[in-house]
Amino acid sequence: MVMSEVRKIKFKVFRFNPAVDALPTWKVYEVEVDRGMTVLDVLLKIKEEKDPSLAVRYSCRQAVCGSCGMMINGKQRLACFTRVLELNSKVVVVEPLNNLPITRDLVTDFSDLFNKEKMVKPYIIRDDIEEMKNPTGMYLQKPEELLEYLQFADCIECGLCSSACPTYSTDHLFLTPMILNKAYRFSVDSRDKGLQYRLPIIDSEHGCWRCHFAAACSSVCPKGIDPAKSIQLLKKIITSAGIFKRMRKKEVQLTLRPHAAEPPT
Amino acid sequence: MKESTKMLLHYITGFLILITGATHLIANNLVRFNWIKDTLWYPMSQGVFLAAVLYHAMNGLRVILVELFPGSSSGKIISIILTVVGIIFFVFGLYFLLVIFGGR
Repeated sequence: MVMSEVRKIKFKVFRFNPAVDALPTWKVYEVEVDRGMTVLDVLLKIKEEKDPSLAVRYSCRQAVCGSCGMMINGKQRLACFTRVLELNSKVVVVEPLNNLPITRDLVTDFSDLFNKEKMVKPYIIRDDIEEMKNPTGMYLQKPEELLEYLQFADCIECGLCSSACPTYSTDHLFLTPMILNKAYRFSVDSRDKGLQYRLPIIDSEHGCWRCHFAAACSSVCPKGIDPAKSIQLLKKIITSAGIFKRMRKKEVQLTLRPHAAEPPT
Repeated sequence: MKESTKMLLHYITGFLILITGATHLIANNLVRFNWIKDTLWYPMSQGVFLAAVLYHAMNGLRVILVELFPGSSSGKIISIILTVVGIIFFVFGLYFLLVIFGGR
């Protein structure tokens, strides 16, 4: 028989409602935690059994949606992806993400990040408008072309990287690792021709050049992405494209659909 | 000027500081290499050193200040002030270089 390990852990939770409270407060809840429980499970247990006024944002509970990012024992983590007993701590301190405005308790406002994301056009941009309107084929990528951006495409937009970024803590106009990673992911895609449209934003005073390579973003990413690397690579392609007017990127060719292809002569 | 151009110049001037600074240290501290001071390269390298140090320092300050005081208008004001300060220092520095090396 497998014995389940149950321990009493104190949870020190940040409480603040900007509409009502003048200053934030801390509340301590003692919760019985077993081996499989995540911080999110505990917060929901507190909400159900002890304090229904606690505000927590979550959705998928499996580290896919990126909604439950928060500071857990001083580090940016996903609450649904952090097992309490693995923290090996008798007191677990839970706070909202750094660098972002607090909506309420553990919920932070991502509007700034999402507005910046729109600015870098996070989608594939092409110049063959006629093909886009009336598609005749597919843009098939080779495996090596996919590998150029595959790691960086795993981003779930949880904002942990932006919260950990030391530049964003002082410069709130900085595009942040999450957005710059997105810009790199699309700019390096062999199907994309939109770097010139992203350059005015990413090559600006508060763009990628404000990254000082502290790499705090990479150390907290729950999906194992390396945003610090993507920013350095972004600097490289900007230098090539912006200054030397060349882009070292293989562009994918249109492969006609079988029924649309010309018969062999 | 684009931010990428400014930062590329920052890296290039960093490299130039290394080269011209090393020239200065070697020429003044190693007796075997004192002859460098008698060549035309030496005053030229000091002029390059002056320009590179000033650009590198002013741009470094700009980066720090732009992050501490974010804003489109503050960025422009910071850039203008630092450009003017850099030019003043360069003119003074160039004057002293001409005084020191002008008699040759």
